Amino acid sequence: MLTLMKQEYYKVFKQNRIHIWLGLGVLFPLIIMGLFKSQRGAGTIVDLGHGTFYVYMAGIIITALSVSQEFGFGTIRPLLSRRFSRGMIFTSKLLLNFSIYIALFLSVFIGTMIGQLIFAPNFDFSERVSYAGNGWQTIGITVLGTLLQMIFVAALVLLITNLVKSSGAAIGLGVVMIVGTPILSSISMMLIQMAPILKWNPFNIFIGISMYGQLAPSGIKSIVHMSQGTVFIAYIVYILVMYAVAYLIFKKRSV
Amino acid sequence: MTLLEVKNIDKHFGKKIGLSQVSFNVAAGHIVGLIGPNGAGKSTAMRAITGLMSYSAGTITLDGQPVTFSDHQALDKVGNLIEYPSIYPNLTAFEHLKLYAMDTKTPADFKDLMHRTQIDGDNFGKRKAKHFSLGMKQRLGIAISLIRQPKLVILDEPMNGLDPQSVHDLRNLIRNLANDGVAFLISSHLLDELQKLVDDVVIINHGKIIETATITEFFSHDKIRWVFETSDNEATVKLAQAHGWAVTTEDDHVQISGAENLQEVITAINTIDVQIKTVNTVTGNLEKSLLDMLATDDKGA
Repeated sequence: MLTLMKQEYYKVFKQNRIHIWLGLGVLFPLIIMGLFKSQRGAGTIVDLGHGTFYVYMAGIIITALSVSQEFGFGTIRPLLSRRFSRGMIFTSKLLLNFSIYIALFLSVFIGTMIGQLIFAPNFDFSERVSYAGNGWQTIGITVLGTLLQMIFVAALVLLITNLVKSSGAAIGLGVVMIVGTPILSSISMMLIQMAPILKWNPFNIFIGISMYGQLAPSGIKSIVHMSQGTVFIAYIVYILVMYAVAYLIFKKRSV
Repeated sequence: MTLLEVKNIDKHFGKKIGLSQVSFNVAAGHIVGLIGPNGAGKSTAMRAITGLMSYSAGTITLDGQPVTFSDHQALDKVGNLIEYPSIYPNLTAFEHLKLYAMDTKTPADFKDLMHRTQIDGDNFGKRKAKHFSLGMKQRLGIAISLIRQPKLVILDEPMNGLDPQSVHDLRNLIRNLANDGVAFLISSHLLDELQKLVDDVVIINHGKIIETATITEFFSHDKIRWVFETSDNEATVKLAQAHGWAVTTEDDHVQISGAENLQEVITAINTIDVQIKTVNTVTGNLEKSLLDMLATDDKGA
């Protein structure tokens, strides 16, 4: 597994230039806070200079590429015709993607801290800024909430990528999940009105998780028609099912 | 010593037969040519051997260890280049070798391998693989297949895109490695080149093995022929038939085979007062032998 991870990191640095993505992650909040005076307040800082959006996009693209480009370049053959099992190869991809999400969060965090020192030096992280708590606590909740959403979307992206072997469709769906949340929310509400059992649809669960940290549990329940705990369990089940199906497709595919 | 043993492999694509009872062996230090027309099952067989494709029946063992779709341990001893070189566009040739060398604690010497596969020139250097020509990618693909110092190397059309000098050098490289005990399973449409390289041939058609033989045995199918142009071809044909030799005519030429040697034929022709204008000896030819064999197989099918 160590060999596979070393190779995955080597590829992600040399082929996908992850260091550039990480560098841009540092710059993103700096640019937002530097260009727009209105974006130097608590709302922006606890959202890591809106870097969570960047982390989201970059994470989804890297996830989609991690499998699809192996098919595109034909490198899937040497990748799979070695002593390693497909399960190990799939796991190494997951671990790589997860570690990149963490690195991306770190990069936007560093950029936000620099931006706060330069553009909002009077901001006090110990002051209460949201229902979740002070600045540090809210950042923690924001990162956790975004990471949870990313894992869900990444599972879906990985599933689509394994099905169609193309990153385009997977990235497209990932972007829709990110920027189209209000539309998804409307569709989901309509579905639930039609039949209450449709509250279990994956979009509703995703919306419930995306509101984690933004609304109080009672607020979330009124929108998604289930408790925060139930949303979380359903969410975990969906993730496990999507990763399991993605793995089965990856395992069974002849190349 | 048998290194690779393929025994009774079946593979179906729906109702279509991909491989049917395919069996052959590759011994250590031997170069085996896997030959057949397009769609015969060459790449399918290679993909099954490298664990890229499942098969419904039969066994594949490498150095005594099984190779299946899910059991890949034995593939540690195999290098391959199947169908086309697998290249990461933003990596240089050296970076590719470095990447694949991570698989083993005992990789080949980089400098030596790069020199032997001719990827050490100025054309390569710090250039990314996306700027390589087909021939350069092919050479890199071959180098990648050798970086782990495998016991068995599987090469599918390795001469694609290579210039004559590179083909010659590749032939020498393969022959030298085979002398060191490395086994090769090679498919190629360049039969003349393959003929100069392989020790054994495995002929496959419609997913079935129709012949496995040493290259010498294989050419015994295709006897030496002598092509004459004479002052009286009709009389020459009658003479050949009287001696029981195989004879055909084509344009102004008479083709004779089956005699002990050329001198025997010339002596016979001289006895009937026919003047020999030209004579050419046609030796065994892999392409012709293969075409004859495939034609016979297709007639029988």
